[in-house]
Amino acid sequence: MERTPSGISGLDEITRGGLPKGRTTLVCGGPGCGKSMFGLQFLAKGATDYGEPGVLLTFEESEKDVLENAASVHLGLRGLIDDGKLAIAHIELDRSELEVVGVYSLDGLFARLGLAIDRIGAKRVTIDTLEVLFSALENETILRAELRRLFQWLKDKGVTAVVTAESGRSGALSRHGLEEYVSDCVMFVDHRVSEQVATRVMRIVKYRGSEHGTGEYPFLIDEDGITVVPITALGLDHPASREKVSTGIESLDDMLGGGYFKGTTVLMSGSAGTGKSTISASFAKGACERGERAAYFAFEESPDQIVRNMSSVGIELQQCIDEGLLHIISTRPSVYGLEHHLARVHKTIEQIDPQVVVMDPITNFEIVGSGREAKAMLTRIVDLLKSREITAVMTSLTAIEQDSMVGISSIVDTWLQVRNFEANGERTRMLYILKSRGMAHSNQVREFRMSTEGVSLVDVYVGPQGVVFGSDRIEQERLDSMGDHDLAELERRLAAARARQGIGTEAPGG
Amino acid sequence: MADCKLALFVAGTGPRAVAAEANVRSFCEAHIKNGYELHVVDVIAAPETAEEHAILATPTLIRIDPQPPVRIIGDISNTTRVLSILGLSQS
Repeated sequence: MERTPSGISGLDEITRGGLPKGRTTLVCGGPGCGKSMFGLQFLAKGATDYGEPGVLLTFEESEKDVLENAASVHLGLRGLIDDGKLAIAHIELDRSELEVVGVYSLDGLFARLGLAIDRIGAKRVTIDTLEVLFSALENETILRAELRRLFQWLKDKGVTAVVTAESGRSGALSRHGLEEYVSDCVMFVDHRVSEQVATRVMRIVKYRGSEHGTGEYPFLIDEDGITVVPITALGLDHPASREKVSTGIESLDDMLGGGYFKGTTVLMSGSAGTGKSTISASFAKGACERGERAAYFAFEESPDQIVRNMSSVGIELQQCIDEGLLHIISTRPSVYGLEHHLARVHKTIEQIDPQVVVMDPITNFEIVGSGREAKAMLTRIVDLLKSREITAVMTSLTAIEQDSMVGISSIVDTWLQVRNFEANGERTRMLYILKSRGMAHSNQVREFRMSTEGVSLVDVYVGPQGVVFGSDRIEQERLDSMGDHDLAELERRLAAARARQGIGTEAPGG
Repeated sequence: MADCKLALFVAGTGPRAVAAEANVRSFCEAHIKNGYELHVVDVIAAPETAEEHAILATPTLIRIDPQPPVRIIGDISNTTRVLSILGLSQS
């Protein structure tokens, strides 16, 4: 069966091409679930993107009502109507005037629909919603016979149609069993609220002649209409690139043998104040300096805060934003369900088409769902990024030694950790490579410094008593450059001072 | 009774359309005393007219005059009912 693009972002990937061409698709759902939007978007995009004019047949809403209700969505309806690419045929059903005596057929409806289609050469039709006929016309036998005739008529007319229906009680797809008449494609939309978090899902109930995913696909409705997130299988078939992408920090590139592998996801964990955001921002900036696009998903700070904070360590992001290369998208995780976040990320990535993505921090998602659910969502995001060969850095707020978020480290390719140490009243930051798939690394660690000139990594200093950092390090360096005699003297003094204070130990937290 | 102006909307020219028209005419002959005007419209041939009058089903009989307008859909098989809808008495 031939398919025609649905005009619903993400849906064509799930249906492998779109809706059955020249046939009818039934979209069932409760009130406010998005079926009318589905039908409208199918027409609008059909006209705008695929050159197929469309007719919307409504029973309850006038053209004015339709335009008003869809005002917040950018489908360009008014323009399409003016250009003769969209027509809204309103069939009024005024029961008070309607007296029925004897049998009848619905030829008036067919004639007017035919007229509307012929006038603009429509190739798409949406009927929203057939339920209304059932309440207006009492003779169900006649109505059902006519509906059967309608679907055949639409097929003969050669148009691709979307028909909406109210979902029935206790799980019934539609209140009046319309799915019996539509044999080619039936979809179901739902809007659930669970623990104050709302999620929209779409399910393919039937798609004749095609293997289709039986799962539920999350979607969102915003000013661009419906966006569906096509869930991809966790891919073991993603091409593994050997290309390296700069981390934005020269010394980190050295540490990682050139940078991050392209298309991989890096987890950067560490407690508050350890500098994770700085490392991620450097990464984004590095991309922009190469002329690439970066999408920075911020879940704790606003774009202004980020720009300001980064500016104080010498990372200027404003210019990247002004050039349209850096996009900072701030959201509070607790406002939406996990599915909604997933859909938004997917949609933003589709729109911006970045080469590089930052998500900072991902740990807040545990507020929204369980650890397991949050991990599932992030797994899907990682998979989405891999399939588009986007190199990504995700930051995670954790205490030292703790794996972030129920094993998220197992799905990323590289795991870096930043830790703060306090010794002798000073704080030092250390960057560790805990994991790096596909690359020889040897549990490397560097001291990590931030100044007004940006981020730099310096080699750890190994003194006689082990790793030395902070002012002890400066001291040790000085010692190493001295002559033997003075050295012995100073070593005595250093040892004595250390003995008095105890050797500097790792301190948890920041 | 004032002049009665009626419009009958049918689909096509097949037997059902013909029967509907025949039904209406005989009804009018029998029950409308002071003359009537009957316009028959084929919605398939003249869909714009169907649109103008917001026709959904066929046959649809509309009484345009006298006011108020009345719409009856169906094959007008029940004469008594039609009479009462149109506010006419049995003769």
